[in-house]
Amino acid sequence: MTSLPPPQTPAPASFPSTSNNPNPHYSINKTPNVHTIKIGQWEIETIKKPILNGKEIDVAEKSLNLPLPEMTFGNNSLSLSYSPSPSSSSSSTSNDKDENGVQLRFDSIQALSGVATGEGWEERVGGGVKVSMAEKWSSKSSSNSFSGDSPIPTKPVKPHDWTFSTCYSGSVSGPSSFKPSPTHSLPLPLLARQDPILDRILFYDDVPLFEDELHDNGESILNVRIRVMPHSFFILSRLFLRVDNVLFRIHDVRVYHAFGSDDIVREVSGMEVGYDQVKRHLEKPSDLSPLTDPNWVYQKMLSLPSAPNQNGKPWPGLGKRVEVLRLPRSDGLGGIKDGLESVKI
Amino acid sequence: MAPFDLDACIDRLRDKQLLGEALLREICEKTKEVLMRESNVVHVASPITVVGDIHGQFHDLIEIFRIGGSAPHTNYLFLGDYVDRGLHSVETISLLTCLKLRYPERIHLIRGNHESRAVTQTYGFYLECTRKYGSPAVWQYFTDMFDFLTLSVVIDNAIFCVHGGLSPSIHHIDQIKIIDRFREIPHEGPMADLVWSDPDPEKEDFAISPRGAGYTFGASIVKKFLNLNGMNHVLRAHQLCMEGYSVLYNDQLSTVWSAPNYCYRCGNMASILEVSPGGRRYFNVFSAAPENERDGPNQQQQVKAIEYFL
Repeated sequence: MTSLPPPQTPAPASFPSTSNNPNPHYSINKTPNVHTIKIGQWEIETIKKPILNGKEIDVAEKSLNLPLPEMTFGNNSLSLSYSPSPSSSSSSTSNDKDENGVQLRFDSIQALSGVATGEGWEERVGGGVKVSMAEKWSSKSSSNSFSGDSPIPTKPVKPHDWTFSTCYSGSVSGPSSFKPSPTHSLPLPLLARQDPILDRILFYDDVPLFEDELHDNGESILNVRIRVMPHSFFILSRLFLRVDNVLFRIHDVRVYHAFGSDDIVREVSGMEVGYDQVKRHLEKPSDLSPLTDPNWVYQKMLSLPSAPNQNGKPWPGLGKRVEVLRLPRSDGLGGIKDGLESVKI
Repeated sequence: MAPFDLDACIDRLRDKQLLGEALLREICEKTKEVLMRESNVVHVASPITVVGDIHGQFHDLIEIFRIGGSAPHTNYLFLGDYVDRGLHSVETISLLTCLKLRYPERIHLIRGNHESRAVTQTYGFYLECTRKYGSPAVWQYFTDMFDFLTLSVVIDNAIFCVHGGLSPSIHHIDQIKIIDRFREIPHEGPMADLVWSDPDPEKEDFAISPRGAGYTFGASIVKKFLNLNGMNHVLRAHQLCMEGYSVLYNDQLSTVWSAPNYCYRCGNMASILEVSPGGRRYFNVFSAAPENERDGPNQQQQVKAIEYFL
């Protein structure tokens, strides 16, 4: 039998001293498509369904004015609802939102609405990129080796960012919003700790939002993961882009909240590095499969200087910012007391 | 006849047992000899069942034989993309190769864009070969054999079958016959177009994809191609669809997709297309084989480590 840890010694200074209760009350409900956890004043829900069907694709493409990724999980989402009054959260249904409540949400259609479209998007938005074969192709098209009766246009139709490099950082509704904060940061040592009791994972999910193989010229993947521990939840929404022989991009959105605290911390960061710079680090040059592993590429990219594509306006996703959302309080006093109570219930 | 017992090989592969490296080398060599004699445009007669992308989903291939009938009792035309992405590319291509060698007139294999050295190095087949055999030799045997796969099939002089689609360099099928296909898939030109291009339902003509390379083709291109060649339908694979198939351009073009729950997470249906004498086409729709539950990605990963992402 595992004994509980002794009464808490003061947490290291870098860890927020919030909920020290390693056994908070929570409930989990799982149906084939919907997983939910209720913990304290939070209700966290993941929805995972098949990719969109033909009719749904037509509707979404019209509204977004964008040809959708090959695998668009358009009915998938991660949503987190915070209710300031703890008593109502346990009795209310998810449809019955507290008017002071805050909702965070990650879903694919919202994410795709951040993909640049329209004539001249490369100049307006930046980050335009072509496949490695493109130069050969444009020279071929202009010389027009084809002598038939239907001349080939040299410019692509329906211009859009075919790499789906969205800088989506999630949607927020409610009275509060994320504001830049120079003083906050993610508690990385705490998040890296894997204590089997203190940090045990009460709820985990990995929700794919979209995936496109770029016609086997690489891949563009957006997924969002969440883990809920006794003391906090942590989210990573990651866009991973590989354009073969051209570049890699990663756009990460990390969201952290310590239960009982007033703040939600969000870190948004983007990197871009040339394909060959990463490829050089392969152990076996003939085995390119590590290049399909976002974690492997991420580690390599961290160790490399960010080297944005030199052609044209840079991708707007580059750089790093930390923001904080201050949660509303039911009694208007704020503070840590009611938060602590809520996790002890 | 081959210096090995092909029927025994097929039986073992149906049970998902790997064949030895030396044996696969022999099988690939013999298969090359068979494929070498095929034209770039192979003519076949109905009844025949047409299969789209499989991508190493071996259990779903076995499901196809359960649903569509076993080979050689059912004639099969496979439209390419046998390997990569799924967990069992080696078993899948080994079985299909043995069936082709055993029943060359009843099993037809077309080349897809994944039957290529360059693509399989990134998308899984290379890695799977080295993991299962300890060296890239088997990958080499198969990818060398891929260079011999035909590019297109015509059913009953009426249905043009290809992996990807049409090419602006090809008006008449005689122009396919003169392609030198015994090579790695090139980056451009008619051979690349046949395995790479896609229809665009909103367009009439050819267009360059926004990626900067690759073509899409529209309704009037299909119509012209069919008229000029005296045919009535284009049948291709290459594109995932939730329903397992799609029909475009006033029933002049079909996409057949045969990898259910693609990549073990898309939740999509799959289909095979049964072509009867007289030209009747029937999409036989199916979902993922139950064997994927006990021999799929859930058995492959260490879940705990993944949960502590940072």
